Amino acid sequence: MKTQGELIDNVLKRLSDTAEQVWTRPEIARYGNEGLRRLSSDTLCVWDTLFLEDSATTGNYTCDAELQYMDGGDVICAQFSYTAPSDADYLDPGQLDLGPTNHTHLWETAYLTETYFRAVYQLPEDLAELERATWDYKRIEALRSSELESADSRYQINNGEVLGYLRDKDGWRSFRKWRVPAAAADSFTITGYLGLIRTPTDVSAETVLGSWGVCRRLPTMHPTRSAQGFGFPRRPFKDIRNTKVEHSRHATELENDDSVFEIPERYVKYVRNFVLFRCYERNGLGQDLQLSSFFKQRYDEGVLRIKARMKALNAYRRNIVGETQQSDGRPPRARLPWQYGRVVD
Amino acid sequence: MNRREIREEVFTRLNVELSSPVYWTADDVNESINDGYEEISDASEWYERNAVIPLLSNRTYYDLRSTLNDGFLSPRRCFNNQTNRWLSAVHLRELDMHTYRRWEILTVTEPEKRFMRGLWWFGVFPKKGADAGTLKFYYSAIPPALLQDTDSPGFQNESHYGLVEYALFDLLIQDGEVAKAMTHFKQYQEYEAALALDINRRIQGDKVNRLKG
Repeated sequence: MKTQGELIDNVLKRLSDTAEQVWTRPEIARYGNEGLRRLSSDTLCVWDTLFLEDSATTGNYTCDAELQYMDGGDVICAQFSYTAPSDADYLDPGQLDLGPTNHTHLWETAYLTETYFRAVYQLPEDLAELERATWDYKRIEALRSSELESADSRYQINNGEVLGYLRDKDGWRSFRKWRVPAAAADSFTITGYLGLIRTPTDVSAETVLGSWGVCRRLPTMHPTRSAQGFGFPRRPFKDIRNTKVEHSRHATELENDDSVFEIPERYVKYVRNFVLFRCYERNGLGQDLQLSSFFKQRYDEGVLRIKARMKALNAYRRNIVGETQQSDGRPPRARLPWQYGRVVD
Repeated sequence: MNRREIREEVFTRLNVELSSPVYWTADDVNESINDGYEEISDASEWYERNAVIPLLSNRTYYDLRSTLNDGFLSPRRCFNNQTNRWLSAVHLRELDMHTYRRWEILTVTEPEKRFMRGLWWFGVFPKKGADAGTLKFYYSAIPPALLQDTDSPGFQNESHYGLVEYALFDLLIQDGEVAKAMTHFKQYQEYEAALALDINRRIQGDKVNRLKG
């Protein structure tokens, strides 16, 4: 079972209802997406990264509802709500303070006399848990606003290097950088701004493997927000003076019968157990609460297995007393192969 | 037992004529046997494999979904073929707090440590500076399905009856015979637990535990 269609066929066969007399394909598809979402949020198994770029904020819409009016080819930049720092005093109660934005298109940045950097970002809705954040390759600290109020009471306006972040007062999905970035992150100069990367030399000085087609992989860059591990790099970021968020997210939703599951094939059976649990649970013909409970239990067992596997590597790890204390470290030195200078039988 | 023998055992217990089964076809039973084979392998992780992973330039994370295959379950050990050293397991916090703070940019030497992100991203530290060298990665996986009648499950014979019990459960539950199906599932679970125990206790009888082991 690799696709939504295969899952539905398999479930209907197990329900002995291939003629869809009791359960329909759209209903099972809905349960499948619910199961997939539950599995990824229960286990936090889908890991990903995203950049909250330290750059002059270009904003070209003011609320999510406007997105549906963007035309094909339009560049979607960011949401904004006011244009100068002094406007912040006039925000309506409850309105999200995303910081000032004074231009609406990327090319305008070349003509700005004053650059504003954004401190508050909206994290994507599919983010399940934030695992680690870095700025300029260095881990930044997760902080509570109460800690910063006493340590740096002007933390909302002081500019500087980003040393930490808050998530506890600006809204459910907010991410506030502390301090507000003072300079733009390093970035690539790309020729053109639409379509796929055609000239890898814009991005990397390394030797290009192959001589035709499009760019498949960029050195130093982990694919961000890629559902299947395939496709093309669309937007290269640099880590230098930039904020990166490593997180777990929900698996990509399935849209039609040909949609491929993002999770490995083995785990689709856990989703199947969830679907069977929902099918047997719903009121009406075919309801069987005993079977529903049985399949829910099997789904739960699957969740426990995944959690155990994600911790498996820790079992091989040596723990260090006091390891949560940060110490100055230095890069490891190159070591010779273990048998160097010895006679090996 | 091979797949044909397991299937015949299932038909016998269902009281179905072997030569011309009517209600359940041979394909139905084969599918249930393979479903059970996958389930018992997933629960016990008996199938251990290794694969060579080519090291890539400036690459910290390797996607085990594509680098290995869909059968990957969990990591075991990892060996660097250039240094002839085993990669030690490390937690991300250790790298953040007890090595160089900007550890992600280091390409000074061969990978020495390993860690996992999520269920299938395999990370190494430090990363390589060029497309050169390999790692040998040991892991547990789901075995290939039993496609031919002569194919046998890879684990010991006494656990093969677990597949018979699972197939009976799977077929009966499709037929709405819930009580009978549950009886067979309980028996299957006993086989599953016994196999998992065997896997975890392979050296238990002879192993002497001691300080500084």
